[in-house]
This record gives sequence, structure tokens and C-alpha cells, in this order.
Amino acid sequence: MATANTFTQIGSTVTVGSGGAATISFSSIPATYTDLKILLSLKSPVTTAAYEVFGINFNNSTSYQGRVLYYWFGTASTGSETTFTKSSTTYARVFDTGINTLSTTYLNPNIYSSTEIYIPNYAGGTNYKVYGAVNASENNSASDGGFLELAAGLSSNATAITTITVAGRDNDFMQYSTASLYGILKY
Amino acid sequence: MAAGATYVSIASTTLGSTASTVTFSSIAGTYTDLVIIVSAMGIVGSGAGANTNFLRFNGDTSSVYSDTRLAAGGSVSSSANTGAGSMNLGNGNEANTDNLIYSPHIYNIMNYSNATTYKTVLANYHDLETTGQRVGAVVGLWRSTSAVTSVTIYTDSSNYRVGSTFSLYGITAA
Repeated sequence: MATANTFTQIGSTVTVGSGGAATISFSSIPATYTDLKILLSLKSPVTTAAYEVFGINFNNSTSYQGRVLYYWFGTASTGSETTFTKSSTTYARVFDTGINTLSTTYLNPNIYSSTEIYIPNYAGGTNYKVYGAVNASENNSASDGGFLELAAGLSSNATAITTITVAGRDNDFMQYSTASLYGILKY
Repeated sequence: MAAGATYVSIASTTLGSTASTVTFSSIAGTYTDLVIIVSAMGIVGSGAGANTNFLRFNGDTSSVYSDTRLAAGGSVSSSANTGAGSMNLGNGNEANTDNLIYSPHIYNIMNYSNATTYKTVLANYHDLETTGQRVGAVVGLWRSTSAVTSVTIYTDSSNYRVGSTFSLYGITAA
């Protein structure tokens, strides 16, 4: 039997205020869903680089491994991803070019990156926690700026996820960046 | 006006014993699109090409499937199948030594219930273990105008391990 209403927002959308934000966190995540999905619209105030590295942390875990496939300037490349540390917290390095910046060399200042992260079986107590993610920006240019990334990663920690924090490696999130968390319940 | 419930759990299977095939059948045509979430681990086999996931619609084994894949492991690669008996959705269920890592895959099946167009699949796969990871994107085609009423997912080189989950969702347009 099909079950309706299985895609539910958890809490409210976080919108970064005028002062910016070093991180965005979702805490006290209930274990009542099957999977989680995070949707992000992010920008960083840095003007000297085209992109900011994006990371995620589950429950203050410290061990992560991942793989990224990215397409930029007409070339597809891949990288093996580990971690970065910001304010004593270890983050999985999810995307190399995951957050748009204010650099006018590559990107229009009004463009925010778009990111989706899927976390299956986040509440299980016997499985390492994994994620699949896609990230993109379009710049209305045939020669530069647009990028597309696909990432896979895991946290070598079997504890149920109750807190998720996202961060840029070197810079804050700018005003109007948003983050939304959804729970998906299977039949 | 916003619609009501538009993301519906149709069915889900968590394996209580090993299996090489999972089928969702009697899928109603009342949704607009389908989403399948796979969280799976293989019994044996690791490395590039191990434990590939394949998909068939309506039990059709004839040579009417094709797919194009872009993948990243140690390097970027692309590949394609034409005239195949199933859709290759990428390798992705590492038989990891600690038995704790179920790799996630997301399959989107658009406009599955119409009877006038061929059916397409857009998929992302994420192949994970602690010593190596792969990620890829796939577009697949089933050259049939039949409405999709069943979906079969199977792996080639080993069974799926106990605890692997397969969930089917329906999305309704507003």
C-alpha cells in the first residue's frame, strides 16, 4: 500500500543574515525518517578566488573519505577527498568548487551555488553513514564559470546522525545563503 | 494553489536474505515520475567494474536498452551500451571488509506511465568503501512506449548482502 506525505521538511529553512555565518547546523534531528535530503543555496564573500571548498560534518565525526567528479572549463576531472578542519571541527571535504564566491572574474556576483545531498539510512546504528551529492552553478558564459560536481563520501562512524553542520573551508557563508533539511520516509 | 502530497512511498524492500534481484511490480500509473533509492552492498567483489547494477522494465529482456555513463574513480571515464538486454546503471556495491557501508544510488524515471514515448532514466551512483570510492552519472533509455508497470534491479557479479534496501517513490506533478 502506498503511503503519502513521505517527504517532509525538518525544522525551518535557514537563511543567513546580514552578518554572514561561519557554519549552518541542523541539530536534534529525529530518527523517525528513513533518509535525509539537504538542499543548499550558498555563496562566500571571498573575491580572490572563484570558488570555496564545501564540507559537511555528522555528529562531530572526524573520519571521512570521498570521491568527486567535476566538470569545469570544458574538462572533466576527478579527485579523492578527505577532510579539512575549521574552528577545531573536522569536515568531510565534499566539493572542491562547491560554493560560489564574489569573484567577478568567473561568476556573476548574484549567483549562488545549488547543492543537493542525499543521506540514506541516517538513523541506523550499525552502518557507516554515506552520502551522495550533486552541486552546480551556471554563469551564462560559454567559456568560463559554470561548473558541475558529483560526489560520494562516507563517515566511518555508525552512530545515528542527529546533528549536521556544513561549512566553507576558509570563508563564511554570505547573506541570503539558505539551507533546508528534509526527511524521507519509506513505506 | 499548491498540491497535496506529491512524494509518496510506493514500496520498499530490505533484504532479510541475500538476493541478486529485486522487483517492484504492479506499479500504478497515477504518478508523474518515479524515484528509486538503492542502498546496497555486495557479497563479494571489489574494484572498478565490480557489482554493477542493472535495470529492466516490465520484465523485458530484449535488446532495447541503451545507456551512457560518466564515472570517476582514479580517473574520469565514459562508456556506453547500445542494443543491450538491460540498462547498466554503474558499478556500485562494494563488498567492503567491515560490512558497514551500503552504497547509495538514486534513479529518476521520468514520465513512466505514458504510452507514447520511450522511457528514460537519469541516475547517480556512489560506490563506497574505506579504501576507495567511485562516483558516476548515467542516462539510460528503454526503447518502448509501454507504460512502466514493473522495475527489476539486479547485480551481475554477486548477490546483494542482507540489509540492502530498495525503495520506490512516486512523484505527482502539481
